[in-house]
Amino acid sequence: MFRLFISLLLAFFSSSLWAISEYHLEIKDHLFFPSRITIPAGQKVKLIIHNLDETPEEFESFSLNREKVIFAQSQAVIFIGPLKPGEYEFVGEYNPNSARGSVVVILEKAGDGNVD
Amino acid sequence: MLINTVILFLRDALPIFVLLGLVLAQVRISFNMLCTALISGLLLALVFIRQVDSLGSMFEGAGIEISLWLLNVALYFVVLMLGHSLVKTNKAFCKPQWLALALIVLIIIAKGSNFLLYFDGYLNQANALQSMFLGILLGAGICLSLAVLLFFFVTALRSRFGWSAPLLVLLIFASGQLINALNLLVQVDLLPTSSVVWDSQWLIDDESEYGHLLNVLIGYVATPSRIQVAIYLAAIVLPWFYYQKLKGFSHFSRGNTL
Repeated sequence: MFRLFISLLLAFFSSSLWAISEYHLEIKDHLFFPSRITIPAGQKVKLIIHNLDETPEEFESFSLNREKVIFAQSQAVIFIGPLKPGEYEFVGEYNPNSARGSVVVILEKAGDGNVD
Repeated sequence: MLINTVILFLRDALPIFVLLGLVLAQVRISFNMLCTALISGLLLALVFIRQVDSLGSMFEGAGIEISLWLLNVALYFVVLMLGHSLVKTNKAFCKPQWLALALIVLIIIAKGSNFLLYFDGYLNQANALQSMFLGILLGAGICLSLAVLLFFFVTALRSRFGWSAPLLVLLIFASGQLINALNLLVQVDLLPTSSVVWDSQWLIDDESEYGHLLNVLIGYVATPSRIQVAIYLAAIVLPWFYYQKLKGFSHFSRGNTL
């Protein structure tokens, strides 16, 4: 009974049960592409960041409370949301003058991610 | 690159210097032991960043977050043990000096590895070496100033209130690090997002200098989640009552030296 309860609990929190939209972000020449991502309000989304540069970069956003190092020529995953409508800025902490972008949260459904 | 190095160094190294100031004011450590702890921490942080690629691919990409979270949890529990050994000096299960050294090593791995990654990644860039070393020197100067100030502040607290107040300051610092680490689990979806309790960005913004400083000192977050507030309060109050029970507040030895 206890095992069943734990399994159900894990399944409930597991992201695989819920349809989480994926959004892709690229870092190239210390710039984010796209620099603005639009996501729906009130939903958790998966942000996959691909670093195409030869140097590491740190995705950092105070408003999103996220901080993650993305190694050179690799990718990293961050979950963000559910968020209220608004604009949430993020920077590449190692190159803050060039690597800047924002997540725009809108009320209507923004679609199932920017890539399939 | 110079300014960026200073900013990154301040962000990552400030907790290390703050802990040094707080611990050295409470536990007497010889210079040789301190140097050994600093060098060991640095070497272990280097080992950590060498393994970070393989760590990152573990647990469906959440390996780094889990290991950093575990380091922060370990840091908190070593602070609890240190508190116990400072309060109950005659029945301590470990010498405070060893616990203090463990704390220094743990915080260097947990906080220093991020800066080492930056240093390692950008060192080969043209003219980077000079800017980076200059940035580190400037950052270290600022951090050292704050650590010295904290050292004297905690020493004054100790002579006024005995062990209780300095221990509370250390406990608040460790609890702050503990709740900051919770975001690591949220960002890899291992912990559900809970609603924000308050928004004090209008008063002290997370991104401001005061926001940074308060975040390091007391774990200040402008928009804390319910789970962060609950864990923060529990992490301070429960051990505090335990210490009070262990040795009555009035019996806290004043100016007791180790």
